[in-house]
Amino acid sequence: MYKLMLMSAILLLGACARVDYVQLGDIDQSQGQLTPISVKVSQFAIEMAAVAEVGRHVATNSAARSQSQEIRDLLALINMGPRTGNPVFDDTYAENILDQLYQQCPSGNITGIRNIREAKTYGPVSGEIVRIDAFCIQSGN
Amino acid sequence: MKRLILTAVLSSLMLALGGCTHSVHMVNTNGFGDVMPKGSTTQYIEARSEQVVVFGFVFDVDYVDEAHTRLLNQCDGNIRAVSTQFSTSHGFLHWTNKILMKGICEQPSA
Repeated sequence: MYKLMLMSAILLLGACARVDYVQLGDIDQSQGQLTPISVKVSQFAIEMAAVAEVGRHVATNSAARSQSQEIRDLLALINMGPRTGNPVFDDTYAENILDQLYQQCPSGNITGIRNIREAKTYGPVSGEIVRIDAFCIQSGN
Repeated sequence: MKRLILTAVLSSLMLALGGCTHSVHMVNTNGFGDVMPKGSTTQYIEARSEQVVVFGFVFDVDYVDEAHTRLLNQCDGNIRAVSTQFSTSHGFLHWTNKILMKGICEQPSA
């Protein structure tokens, strides 16, 4: 029980943000007034192997500890590959970001695009985020 | 016996939850330079390609160029608002790298 409380406290205190990638495009301030727009999509992510590892540390008897280790190893085998942050269960969550940008700026006259890949993390659980910040040019024509 | 059943149940649960995971590495958008010209026809175009990696052995190193060529082949006008997504689908002893390119094909009306 003490171990579980300690692990929970560590996980809660360890909540933080992570940035993986930022890219800034051209900024055109000559065509008109710039209105900030932003599109953010996110997906729940969990590192199951890390959860099994936590279970191994929390387990009180050696049999449960051994089981957790077996599960952790199995999950590592079935989820091989490069990763940015924790794995998600749906990789289509950022596919309609273009539509969302156009909804906020129907003229399509957009400048100062910042492409950001980031996450909010809570130990083995995270929200994997793709965010596009930009300016919509209000030309007044 | 009890331990075996418990391991099987837990493994099945974890497999169901974690058996099909993905990682989106990067999404980049570009090419929103000007106002969409009036009178032009536009349509969304997209191209996908994949690279399978087994035991770390790579089988198709041209997959990014393939997606790029497929996108270009869909439009002979101006391609604007291009977005590129690079992701990986994880698997048992293998993984698949994926490229998705989307854009808007803009052509002057005849």
